[in-house]
Amino acid sequence: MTVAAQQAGNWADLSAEAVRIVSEAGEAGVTLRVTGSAGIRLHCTAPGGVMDLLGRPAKDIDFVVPEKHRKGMRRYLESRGYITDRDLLIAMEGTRYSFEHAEHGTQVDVFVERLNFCHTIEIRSRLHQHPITLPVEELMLAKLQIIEMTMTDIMDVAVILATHRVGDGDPEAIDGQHIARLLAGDWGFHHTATRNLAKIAAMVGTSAAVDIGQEYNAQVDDGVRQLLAVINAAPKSLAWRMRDKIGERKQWWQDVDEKEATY
Amino acid sequence: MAETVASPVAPGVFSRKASGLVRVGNTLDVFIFNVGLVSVGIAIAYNQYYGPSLYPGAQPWIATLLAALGMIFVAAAFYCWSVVFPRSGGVYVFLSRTINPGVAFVMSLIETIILLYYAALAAGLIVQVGLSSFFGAVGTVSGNATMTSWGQSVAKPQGVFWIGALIIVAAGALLASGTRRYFTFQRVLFVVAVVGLAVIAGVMLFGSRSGFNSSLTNLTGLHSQQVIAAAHKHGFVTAGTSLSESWKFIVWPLLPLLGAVQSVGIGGEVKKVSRSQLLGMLGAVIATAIVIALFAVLANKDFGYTFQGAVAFNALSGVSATTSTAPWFAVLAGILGHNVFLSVIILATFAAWIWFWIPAELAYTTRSMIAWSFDRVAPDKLGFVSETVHTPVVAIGVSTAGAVVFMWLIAFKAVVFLTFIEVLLVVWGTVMISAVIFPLRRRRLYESSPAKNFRLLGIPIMPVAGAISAAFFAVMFVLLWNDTVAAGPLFKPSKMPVEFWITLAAVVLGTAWYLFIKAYRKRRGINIRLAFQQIPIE
Repeated sequence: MTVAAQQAGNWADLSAEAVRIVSEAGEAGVTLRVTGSAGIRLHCTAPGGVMDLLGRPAKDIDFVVPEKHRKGMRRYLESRGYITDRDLLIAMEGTRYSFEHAEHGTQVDVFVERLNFCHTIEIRSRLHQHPITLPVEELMLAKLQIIEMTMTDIMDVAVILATHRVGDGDPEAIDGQHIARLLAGDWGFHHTATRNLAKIAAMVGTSAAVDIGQEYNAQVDDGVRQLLAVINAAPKSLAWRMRDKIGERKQWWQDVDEKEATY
Repeated sequence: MAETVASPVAPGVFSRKASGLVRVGNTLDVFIFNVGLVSVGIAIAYNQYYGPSLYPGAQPWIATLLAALGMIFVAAAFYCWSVVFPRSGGVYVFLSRTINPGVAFVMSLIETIILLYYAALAAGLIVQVGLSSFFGAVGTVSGNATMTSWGQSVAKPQGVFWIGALIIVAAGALLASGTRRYFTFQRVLFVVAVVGLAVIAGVMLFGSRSGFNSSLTNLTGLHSQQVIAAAHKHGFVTAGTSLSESWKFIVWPLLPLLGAVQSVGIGGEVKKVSRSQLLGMLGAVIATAIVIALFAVLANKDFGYTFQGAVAFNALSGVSATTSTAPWFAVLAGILGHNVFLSVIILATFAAWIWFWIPAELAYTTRSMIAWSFDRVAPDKLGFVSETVHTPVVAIGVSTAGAVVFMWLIAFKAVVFLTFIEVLLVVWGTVMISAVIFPLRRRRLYESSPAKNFRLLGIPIMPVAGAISAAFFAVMFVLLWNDTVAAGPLFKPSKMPVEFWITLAAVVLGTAWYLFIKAYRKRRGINIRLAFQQIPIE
């Protein structure tokens, strides 16, 4: 079996597990939405094939849960054989959970209402936009907020841009205005996201690791240009403009560490 | 989000191990945690109360700077530990993975008991030095007899226990509400305390001896020369500045300065450990020592060294020529200010500084307990996390209850466990000796840690700082042992102090518990020693 085929198999297992969890948790009254690479894979069928093209590895499933459903989420996952990471439970004080399945070892991370990494993305009001995953905008922003993107992050954003056009009105299009509005209020996030978009545009097609074929590469390039145009055109808040004067002289992101033992 | 697996597509590019753990504390939080544990308020209060009165010729500012010099080496050694093991759990983590898990557990248990005692001591001080002085000074300055009588009432055992217990429970509740909220609260309070301290410094800088004497007579009816004469009559001794007495007095400023390194207990919860702990520990030692020494100099300028000694001596000896409430620094500063508003600021500032000790000591002990629980040397329940508040409420509850018990002993049994510092020096001294042998005993771990690169003129800092700190602690131990005012011998055959029995009980029960739990876990197929083989992710 080739590596790509093996990874496709992993993705299939992981995707099936993610859908099962969202569905069963929903029946138990717990809202969960998939984010991260699994979310991108699940958002619609098209990215999956592109991810296989890129050889994007399958590893874990990330979810977002509303605050009021935390208790139910933990009970549900534990009833399905997932073991809670006690260390992280104490360290994160209810803002994030991590689980590992006792038998098949699947890793599950659950974030509560917001993705709080290098930059913070509030999810609460966007949890019900899609039945299985976060909306495509948040799936992409979750990658664009990373201060030092790895190749897998670049692949993920490339996949979204290759399979979704930038526009508004169409539920399957990337709502550029929504992204622009969010970034117009946060200079740091804006700086990181636009820098990353430029980096992606420069790498897609030119790097062997992110070559998804001429047609897809062109769509990514076109998507980045459109998105940057919308983001740059959006009126900026006063706080944004003041922070802009300082620029990179002051750290503009939040430090993110490894998920290592706290105790 | 977990991104740890390298892809076969482009080896080497998947370097980001970051899985999105946003730690709660930053450099400022670590600094505040340590500065709070030094508690500038307690340090100034103790220095100016006991120094001039009981150590003739001892200059608190000299003793403070000497203590700080020793603590710089201690901070350097603890800093190295904190980067080798960037985890929460304090000395337990270091010793369990270097010397022996059983020894580590017993040492950590003793340390926990001592720190809970000091949390209770601080709560008692808030009542005695903070509230009592507050009512006393404000009542005196405003001429309000009711407030003055409250000052005396709250300092009685019932008042000390109930108010002290309430303060401890409030500190426990703050921790239970979450570390993020705790740090935010401490940041706000730190600003208030620093501003208050700046106001006091301003009052003292522009104040004068004659102004103080005049206010003293107006507000209390006392004349400084009469106070000094009365003290002399009852055995008060004065002397010129003495380096040997200042050296003997070093144990007093050492007590608060020991707090400057306690962020080692929360190492797993701070961002950029290398930077945060360096600035947090060394910064706290240096900054607080300078501030404490500065206030000693200002106190000499405004109150007079001899008067401070005499008025405190009279209070300690039951001589009537003293203030109605104990003449702690805050009371004297309130008199100098001669203004109700200023008195309120001064006393509130001191109360705020003393408060820092309580939640921080509780936090340290809860982290130790959780570390025991995770290593399975303590019941799993100790690490139980509430589904409502999402914090380890059992550990916090145990720490809070332990401190309340000590509060009861302090209030009703007049128990003063200053000899505990000797025991703490033994525990921390063991950690310092471990720092010396660590590079040899756990060579691979040492060489793969950033501590390996910490060198000064080519000399490795960790073992050298550990050796100097161990020697420093040994000298301090001898000074405390021989100083019956500050502590006295821990082991006295004629009458063993309570601290000895508590320590002995902790050693015996701790050892028995460790052996029991080890056997118990083994019967269930768990080898708890495996936990100590764990190496933190580099």
